[in-house]
This record gives sequence, structure tokens and C-alpha cells, in this order.
Amino acid sequence: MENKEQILSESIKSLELNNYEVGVIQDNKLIFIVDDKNYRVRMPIQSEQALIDHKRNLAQLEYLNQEGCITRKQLITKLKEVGILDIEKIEARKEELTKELKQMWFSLATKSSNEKNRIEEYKEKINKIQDELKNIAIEVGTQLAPSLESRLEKFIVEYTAFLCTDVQSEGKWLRVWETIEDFNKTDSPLTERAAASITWLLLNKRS
Amino acid sequence: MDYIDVIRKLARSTYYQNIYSAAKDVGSIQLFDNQNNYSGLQSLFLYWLKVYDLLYGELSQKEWKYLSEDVINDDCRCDAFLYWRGQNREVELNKNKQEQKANNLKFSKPGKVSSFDIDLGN
Repeated sequence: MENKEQILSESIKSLELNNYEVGVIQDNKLIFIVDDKNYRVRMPIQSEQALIDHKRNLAQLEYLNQEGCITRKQLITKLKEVGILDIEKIEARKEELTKELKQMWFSLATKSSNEKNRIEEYKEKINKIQDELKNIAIEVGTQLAPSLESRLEKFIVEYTAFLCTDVQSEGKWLRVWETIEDFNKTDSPLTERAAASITWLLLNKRS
Repeated sequence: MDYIDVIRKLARSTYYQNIYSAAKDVGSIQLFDNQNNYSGLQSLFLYWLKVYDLLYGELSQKEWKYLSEDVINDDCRCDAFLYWRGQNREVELNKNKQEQKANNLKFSKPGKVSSFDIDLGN
């Protein structure tokens, strides 16, 4: 479990460390380099989106027939029963932290620029609270990963990454993988990077 | 660097603030390649452009004691200021609403009418 948490933290860190340039906002594509080759991920076009939806539905039927398939709601109850994670308690803690964060913001806002020490003190406290909120989100995400909903989310990300990752060759952008099997066979740094970038694009999709 | 940090840095830059101001005044100036159907990132960028435009406007008007260029350039302080500003605006709004309510009550008391001294010149 610790390993999974570490991977997730590192993925988030890697996303944060990316140098997002002006082009990202202008055309909603993300370019990255793996082994000296230029890759990009983009949002799916309408026909690709229809295919993703169709494949997602098939995956849902497949997962439902698998042994040990559990929904998010059932998993939350189970985690509480066995004493691993109490989502209600976590929600209460999140509320408490949010309240604290607002108090800190209020105090920081009323400091003038010459009160440097106080400003740094509040900023540090705010960062700490925000980090704890982020860790809570990671913890919940990790614990709920085996649920049907989380598995389907992962499937969508991977299938979108398979369809929408291009490689630059002689000035042209060409699709990297012909089939999902090719995607699954590829070494992890490229697929992980593509999936992380797609997650980021999907999170920022216009709702 | 977090992508939101980058978007905010770009949005508060003089270059994009100038383009934004010009685009507001002159309709033909475009910020993006596409004219509609903005992506999530573009919407986010537009949101921060608007926020910083508002903050720079209020800074030039010296509307708030705690608003300075330092605050605008520091994301954490800026978040704090925006929260504080929002709270102040809400208090102000509630105060106005209550005053309006009180005024309405005065006028609607039965048997009481407002009157004005009008010199009709008689």
C-alpha cells in the first residue's frame, strides 16, 4: 500500500514539476520528452470519445463478473468495519482543516508587507494545512482504488492515453500505439507519463 | 511548479493584462486561436485574467488597505486577500440588505405615511 501511495505522490509531484508553457493554454495539448523523443497527449475527438465510452461500458460488464468486484459505497462500509479507514471521520477532519485554513487566510490577509516574519509564519501554516488536505485526498484515493468506480476511471485514463498519445516523426505527429495490447506491452515510463498527462488534461476538461 | 501557479503568473503579467484590457475594448483582438468552445485550461486562464484585472483596478483606486502589488504577486497572500475581500463584501452586502429591510418596514407600518414639506408658494 505504501508503494502505491509513493507512486501516486510521485505522479502528482511530477505533474507539478512539469513546466507548463503558454502553448498548453492555447491548444490544450501537452508535450513531453521520453528518451529524446517528443510526445504529446491531446483530448479525444468525438469519434474517439464514443469509442472510449463504449469500451468503458464493456469494461464495467467485465469487472462486474469478476470475483471480488466491489462498489465504492460497499468498500467504504467495509473499510470502516475492519477499522482501516473511516471516511466520515476523514470528512470531519477535512472540514476542520478547511475552517482552520480560512482563519489563517483571514489573518494573513490583514498583514502589511513589512510584517515579514508574521507573513512567513502564516504562509507556513497554510502550506501545512494544504499538504494535510492533499495527503488526505491521496489516502482516500489509494484506499478506494480497488472499487469498481476507481478501476473504471483508471481504465478510461489508460484507454484515452492509448488513443491520444502522438509521437513526433519527421515533423509529423503520429499515433504511438496501434492497439491497446501494444500500449499494455510498452515500457512503463512512457505509458505512465502519458497516463499522468491525460489525467491532468481530463481533470481540466471543460465541464 | 504547479500548473495553476504558471497560469496565474501568466494571467497577472503585464503582457496578458494589456491584451485582456485591449480585447475588452476592441472586440477584434483575440486571446486564443479558437474563438469559442474554450477548454478547461483556457477558462481557468480567463478566470485569473479577470481576477487580476479586478485586483489591479482596485489597487489603482486604493480601495483596500491591505491590497498591494506584493500581495498580487504572491499566490498565497493573494488567496488570503481574495478570501478576506469576499468576507468583507458579504458583510457589506448583508448590512445593506438589513438597512433596506429596516427602511421598508418603516414605510409599511400601518397608519404611518411618509410626508414631505413642500412649499407650494400659497
